[in-house]
Amino acid sequence: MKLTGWMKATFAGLLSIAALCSSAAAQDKPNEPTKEVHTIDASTPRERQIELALSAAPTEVSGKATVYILGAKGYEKVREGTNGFSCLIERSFKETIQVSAAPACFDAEGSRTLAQTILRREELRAEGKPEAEIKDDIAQGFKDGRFKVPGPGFLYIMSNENYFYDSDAKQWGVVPPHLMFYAPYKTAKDLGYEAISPTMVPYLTYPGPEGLIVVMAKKPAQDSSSGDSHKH
Amino acid sequence: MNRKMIKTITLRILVLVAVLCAARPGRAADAKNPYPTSMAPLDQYLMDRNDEIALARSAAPPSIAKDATVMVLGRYGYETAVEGTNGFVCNVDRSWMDQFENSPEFWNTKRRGPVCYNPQAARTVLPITLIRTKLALAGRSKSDMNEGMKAAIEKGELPVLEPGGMAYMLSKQGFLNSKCGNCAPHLMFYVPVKDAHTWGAGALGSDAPVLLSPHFNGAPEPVTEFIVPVTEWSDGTPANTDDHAH
Repeated sequence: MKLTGWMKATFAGLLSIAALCSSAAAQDKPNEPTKEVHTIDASTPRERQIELALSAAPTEVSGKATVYILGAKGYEKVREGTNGFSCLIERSFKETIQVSAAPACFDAEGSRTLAQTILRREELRAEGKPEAEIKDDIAQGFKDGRFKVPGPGFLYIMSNENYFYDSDAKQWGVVPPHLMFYAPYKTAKDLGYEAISPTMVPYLTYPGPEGLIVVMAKKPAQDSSSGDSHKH
Repeated sequence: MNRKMIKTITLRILVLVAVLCAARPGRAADAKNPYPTSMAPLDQYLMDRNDEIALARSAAPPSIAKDATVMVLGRYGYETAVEGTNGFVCNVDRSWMDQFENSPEFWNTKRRGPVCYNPQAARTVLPITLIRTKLALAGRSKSDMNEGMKAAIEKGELPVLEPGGMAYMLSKQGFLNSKCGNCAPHLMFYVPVKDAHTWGAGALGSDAPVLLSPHFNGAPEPVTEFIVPVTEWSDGTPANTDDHAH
């Protein structure tokens, strides 16, 4: 039972981070929505998907970003942006079970590189391809030039509705808001550590073409909405 | 003494006074700006070598700093005092790393900014420090330094940024400016220059998740430096959450 691509490592890393931030998570627990609410798919209302996607970044960023939502054939562009950013809800799966729903806003560099792999993943999922096959397709895409490794830049994952499913505990949790800087092929040693560990600051996920340096943020991107983040 | 001779002598005296004023190091422009408006005597910027090594290392967690290369400021620029093994480079920034415009503390002799660059930033961002320092120690004025840096960029002396470039600035012992002293512990990340507001970065002192450093950012260095505050100093002690980075 494996996740695909960089989502696996990202997910594992963020689980660790989430565990480290257990006090914050604990505060969210009493109001956590049900599993069904966290599971995002093409049937999730359009306005709800847009709202979630835009919550990933500060309003001055997401307000001018291109927005994608999940449709029957994968992502559908519902708005053309003006600032180069792309916002969407990124999902990951453990076999056929959705285990995360992460609103994310990629900068222009990420929009033309890493975001393209996310669009491709959902395209293949919509075709019913198994996760293992999707993983292979993405890896092959980096080899044959369909996908490019990013240059310097970062993406926002700063929604206060960034959910993951702990399949062992069989419950959903909230990953604290964070930033991810592109770090293709970087290793723990590039951050001064011998190996990747949950206590790293900053944290490194998936040392490969989709490598990312994770830095926790003090608060969600749109803090004014944090008080009623679980209103649904 | 005819009027022409008096006029000539008066003019020469005025020129001499102007030259002497311009050449006087560290002079203050007015009472509103307590900092030198040109470079003070070099000795005021120098430190005891061992103290500077220790201060530079305090920028990052000990596990990183102990194996880092350490550069210290000498009379002719930064020189390697300790050869490291992990690719990191630590040094103590001086005041001339401030932005060229609206920077009253550009020649503040007290400024000490400990920083440790990871290998990617050491290759691509640290050269900015080395070039600026070379210009400052050559006696260039702030505006001349700005022009000198522009020339260096045009000549291709600054390497192209690499993804993953970042730096630690977690020292409790630094002095970054007179507003916040050692300020708050933070990480710095580097991206190619662009309209920084595109990224939604906030001004220093704001509570935005990503802050925009006022230096570089196309003026003239083609690098945008983002600052992300963190919660601990390099010695593991918690930071005051009210502190601001820079």
